[in-house]
Amino acid sequence: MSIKFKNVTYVYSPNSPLEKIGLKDVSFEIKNNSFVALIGHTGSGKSTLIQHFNALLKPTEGEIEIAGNKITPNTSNKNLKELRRKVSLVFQFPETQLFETSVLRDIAFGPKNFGYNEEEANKLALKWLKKVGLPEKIADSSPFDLSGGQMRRVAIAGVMAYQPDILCLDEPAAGLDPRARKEMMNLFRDYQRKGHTVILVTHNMNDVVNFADDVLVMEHGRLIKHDTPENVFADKNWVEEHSLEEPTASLFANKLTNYKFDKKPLNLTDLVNGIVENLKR
Amino acid sequence: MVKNIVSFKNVSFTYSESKTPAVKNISFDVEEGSWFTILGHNGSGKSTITRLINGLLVADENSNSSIVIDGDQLNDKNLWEIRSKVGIVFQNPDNQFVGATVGDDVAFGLENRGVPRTEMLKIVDQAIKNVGMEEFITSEPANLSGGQKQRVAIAGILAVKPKILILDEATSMLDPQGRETIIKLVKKMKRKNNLTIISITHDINEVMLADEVLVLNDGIKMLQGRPNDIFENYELIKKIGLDIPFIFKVKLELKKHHISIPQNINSEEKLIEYLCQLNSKM
Amino acid sequence: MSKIIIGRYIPGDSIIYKMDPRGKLIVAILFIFIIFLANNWLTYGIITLFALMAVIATKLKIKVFWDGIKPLVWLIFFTSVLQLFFTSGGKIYWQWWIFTLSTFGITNAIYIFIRFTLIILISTVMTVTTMPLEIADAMEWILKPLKLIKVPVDKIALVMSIALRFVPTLFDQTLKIMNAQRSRGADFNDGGLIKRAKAISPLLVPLFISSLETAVDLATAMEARGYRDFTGRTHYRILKWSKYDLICLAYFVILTALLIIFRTN
Repeated sequence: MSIKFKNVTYVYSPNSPLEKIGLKDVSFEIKNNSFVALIGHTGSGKSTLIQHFNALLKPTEGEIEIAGNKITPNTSNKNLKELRRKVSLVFQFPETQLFETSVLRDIAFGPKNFGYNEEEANKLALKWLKKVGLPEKIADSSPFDLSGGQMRRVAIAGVMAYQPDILCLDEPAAGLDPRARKEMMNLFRDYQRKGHTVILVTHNMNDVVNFADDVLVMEHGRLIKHDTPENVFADKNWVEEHSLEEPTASLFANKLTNYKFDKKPLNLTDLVNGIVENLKR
Repeated sequence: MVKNIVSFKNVSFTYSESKTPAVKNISFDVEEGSWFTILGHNGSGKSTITRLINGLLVADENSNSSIVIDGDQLNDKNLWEIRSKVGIVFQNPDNQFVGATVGDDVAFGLENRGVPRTEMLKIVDQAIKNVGMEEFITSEPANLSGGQKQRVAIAGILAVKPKILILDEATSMLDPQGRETIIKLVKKMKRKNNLTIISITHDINEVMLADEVLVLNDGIKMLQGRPNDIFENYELIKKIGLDIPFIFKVKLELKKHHISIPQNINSEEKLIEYLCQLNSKM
Repeated sequence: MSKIIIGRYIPGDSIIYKMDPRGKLIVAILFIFIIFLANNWLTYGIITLFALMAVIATKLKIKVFWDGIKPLVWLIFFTSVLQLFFTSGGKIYWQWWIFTLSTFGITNAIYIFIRFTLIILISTVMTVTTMPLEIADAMEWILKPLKLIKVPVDKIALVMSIALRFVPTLFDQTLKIMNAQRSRGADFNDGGLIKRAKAISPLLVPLFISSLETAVDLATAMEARGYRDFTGRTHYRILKWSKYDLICLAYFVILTALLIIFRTN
């Protein structure tokens, strides 16, 4: 399921004193089965952009093709279920969306809404409960008795349980401790490898280089770069100019002034291999 | 001799709805004017400790346990006196913003202490200036970023001149820019006001700022020491689900390639210098 | 989008904005009373002129005031029509069953229409130029005498100001949860009443829980910052009478005097 944005502009509260541009003439195309990182400062338009993926917001101008659906300024608010089953959004701190009396029922909420019957929905819910690394025995507990980290997993299971083709996550690991963070990122990578598209909104440049194969960079509502992680971080000056951070390994490599790297190291393995290479010469 | 400003002896705490203690028989001392970090994964009992320091929670009754803050043992009578010595910046920027505007919020602690208005206005203006928010004095919280709200929280706390500033995961909900400004600000304020900083975090970069680190796991003290010594125990740190700083990861990886870095190379500057020298020798 | 307008306040700068909220609140309330002094064309003319001057003095666009009247336009129209057909007296033009169209009816209908419109205009002048928080402060001041009978006016005022401060936060949270549940296939607009009522629990439960969490966090933060039952609490925010309040009061006295002089006894 590819995603295609054609000259998409979005204006908040048009013709009012609060009028504000959310997106300005954004065009791009994402290939099927990619792992995309969406980066940019707070307020750069990332969150406005992702809300267009499942028509929570509709373009003021322009056109979107996503998962076989077309979204235009005139798209009706009805009959969006098919689109939302295929394209799913996980917002920041998704644990705030939990509401059911049991963990299992909460995870099954999405599948049931998208047409699975009770039994199928529960089966999917149980499967994804385990997949996100939660013990089966909590299935009947109230989600509000769990720890913050567990609640986060329940919320994410609730979105992955209907297996959307395109999974879009806004800072899914924010506030988690390092181990939980790592497990979560690996879960998304596996999901992508099984043939889905994953879009990750993040401030963490190490996650960008470690997981993504395609990067979108937003600034002031515009898409200022769409390229591979290698190319995005290739030009140190460009990265600085747009006050983005470099990955930790690149920052470290920059300071090793008498070393020569064939290719700029983006992650720990590249960095260490590069150092070893230099020392051997 | 340096004075201990916080001193915990054999402190345990059990939440009323729970059977097992959240904090088990913890003892530690914090030197006045130091930066003390409590490191642990979510649910390790870190936040419980901060709430014990200023009496928001009361420790389990035990004859040999005590909490001493700035020379006074915490009890019912000096609770409010001790609270005025301890300021806490909490995790969620929105949920600690009491005032309707930046000015109102910074004034809140002063109002509570009955500071006369003429004096209050001066203190509020100065506190807001100190955190660089002077152009926002009449702004409402809805129009501020998370980082700006945390700056206001710090201004509100410093306005009442505490001796101890606790950062209870104060940067964990912020973006990298917000995080950086808060850390810079805290460093500056610490120097200026001779504050003692107690930070609760699982951000490794914040840990490196500390003079002393206490590692907690499931309410039990695992390790205590300087950050560099702590991270030499990387096996243990990893086992309890925490990360180690990047330079230690580099050292470990290099070791796998038979390049051993001496133990005293324990900061980024030192490692870079060492590696550069190593390269020029060859 | 966290930038929403709470209440109907519109930022601006004119003498009305410089007035003390207490002054505006008192004048707006008194206006409702003195409008009943008007009982002939001249007095209605005078009070209309006064109200229009207040509107002009805000230096806001006319549309703002039209937006204030718009939701009530049917109510005004309906009441005026009732007056028109159910008042008899004077010269009768037309009569059918219980309906009469008379000179009294026509003048009464016009008076009612003017009265209604002016009251809305004056309250709009107050609400668009005064922040909700200031209105709360002004109300605290007006309620102050209740302290004598042990009503905790201070605490009520603090609760009001905190509630107002959290309106945008709650609004953001609602929007966020709604979007999250919509993404999970929830439908808030479709279906009959029962289906819609059912659809609301995925929204209300999380909202309730997050508000509760906010309340607990806020209480902890307030306690940590030294808030307690303490009579010596001082105030950062105080209200100050300005010369504009005096000017307004003077106008108001003149208006009342004119109404009393020119009304038909």
